[in-house]
Amino acid sequence: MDERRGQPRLTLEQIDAALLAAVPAGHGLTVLPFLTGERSTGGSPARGAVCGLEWDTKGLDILQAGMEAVAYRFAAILAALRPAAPAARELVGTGGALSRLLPGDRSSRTSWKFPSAVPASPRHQAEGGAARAGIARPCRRCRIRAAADRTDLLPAGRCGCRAPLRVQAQERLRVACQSTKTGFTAGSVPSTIPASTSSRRCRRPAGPHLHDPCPGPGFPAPADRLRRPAASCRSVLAGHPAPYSAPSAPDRVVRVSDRRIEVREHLLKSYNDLFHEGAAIGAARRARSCRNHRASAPAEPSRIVVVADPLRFVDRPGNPVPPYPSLLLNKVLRGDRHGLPLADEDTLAVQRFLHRDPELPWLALHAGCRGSNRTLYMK
Amino acid sequence: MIDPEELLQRTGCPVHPAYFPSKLLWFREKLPDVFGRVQCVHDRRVLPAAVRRQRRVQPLDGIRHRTAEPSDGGWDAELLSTLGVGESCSLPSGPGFADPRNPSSVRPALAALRDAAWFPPLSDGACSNVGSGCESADRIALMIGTTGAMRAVRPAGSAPVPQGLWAYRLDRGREMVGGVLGDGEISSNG
Repeated sequence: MDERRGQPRLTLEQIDAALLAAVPAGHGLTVLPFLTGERSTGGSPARGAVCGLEWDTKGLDILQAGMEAVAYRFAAILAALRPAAPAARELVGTGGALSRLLPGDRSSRTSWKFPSAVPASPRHQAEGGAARAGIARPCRRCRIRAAADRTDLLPAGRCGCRAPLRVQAQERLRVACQSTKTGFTAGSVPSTIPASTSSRRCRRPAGPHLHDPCPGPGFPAPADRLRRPAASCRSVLAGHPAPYSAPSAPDRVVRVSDRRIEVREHLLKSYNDLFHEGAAIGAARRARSCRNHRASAPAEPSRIVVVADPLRFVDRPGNPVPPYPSLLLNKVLRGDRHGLPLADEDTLAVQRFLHRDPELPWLALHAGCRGSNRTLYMK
Repeated sequence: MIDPEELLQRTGCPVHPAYFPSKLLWFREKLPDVFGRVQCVHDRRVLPAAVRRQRRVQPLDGIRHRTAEPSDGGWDAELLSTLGVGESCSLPSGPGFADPRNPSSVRPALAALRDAAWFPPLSDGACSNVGSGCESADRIALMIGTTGAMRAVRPAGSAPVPQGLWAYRLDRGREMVGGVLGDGEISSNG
């Protein structure tokens, strides 16, 4: 419960769905996830930072940017690790936080499009310690025990008990990751920005800050790392690590459903791609929300990969729409969205999603809002 | 002065405040009196060894040579000298360290545990990789918990340690190489 508001918080599943529906790196934020300092890959004394906050920034934007920043750092580690482990072909996800990030059954986990994200047994660390110590691989069925003086490790899946589930799940994910990447839709930036962006007038003057994620007076000229935009877990861990997928023809269009979605498979080849993508999306988003900045949108739309419509993005075959058990209309209209007020435009977006109708017209609704009647005008 | 790059290749551990050598240096500079009275150096990961009769326990990863066995000494003499930690603070090499078949090495005060088997401390990262089936060279483990890490197992000494990453021995034939993110749980705290 949110004690300040007396309202239930969004569940992880709801936050998950909201993040899935969000435009990757479309928040305009750049986050350094170094609250305890950077270890790999730079080892600099940098600390955490959130740059690019605006009036339009929402709580979910910051959450999304933080998650993307973590994913981005892992992509950096992976890029450094890949030459050192050239034989690696799969990525196995473990850890409590990752398990919480991937709720539900394995089918829903596949929707995250990790190269091979299979949370192993929650006891994987203890089991690994037991195996490493040469005691035994804890196995309820066959109870294989190794000699106490054994120093080498038991081979993976030797007992045959955990292996099938793990192998099957990993294989599903591996196949999934070799096919279509994610539902990114290509198109010109201004015309593909989601309609949920705010029309609030921007108070910031036009200028180079649209491309500068770290313009604060205390910051030096942004280094490359600071200029890297956050990229979503999906785009980084599914689209970016090209070593996990065979080289393919550049930018091909794939029609993935009959819901007017065309997906352009776009392998991000470098951090510069991610930077341009994120900066362009953020700038275009601002350009759309701030009419006086429309001319500041970058001039490379052909390289931009954005989600044309998040409402359609999550509702595609093979990726079931996650349920919204508690995100009901009345709660939405009360502004209960992760403890933050919900803009009218976002209310419409949520309603469209709930009704599975991207063309849901704007309506005028009367609703109680925090003890007073309120009229939401949706033209 | 120690060359960080050379040290990385020798020990597999980068020069960084998060790792043991830097902590020892900080300890020596900030608390010299206490540091001078220290007879042994260990941390929570070597508890099984600390409760044995053996009073000397090993300084941890980052000081051992990258080519050393996990249960061996193999200390980097230059680094030990820089840190002001003598080899007497380390365990002797050989199988006598935490031998599970030698319960008499357990302190008498812990007689109730005399029949228990004791094992050398194991890296949690190595255990995580092994337990998740990533002990072969074809899989990389991505772990996101309180921290986050990405590790791979490869033949020991098969290639230099990449800049920005670390490496340590898993067993006599393999080593782990990878990187770590100190704030992995950012991604789940919301």
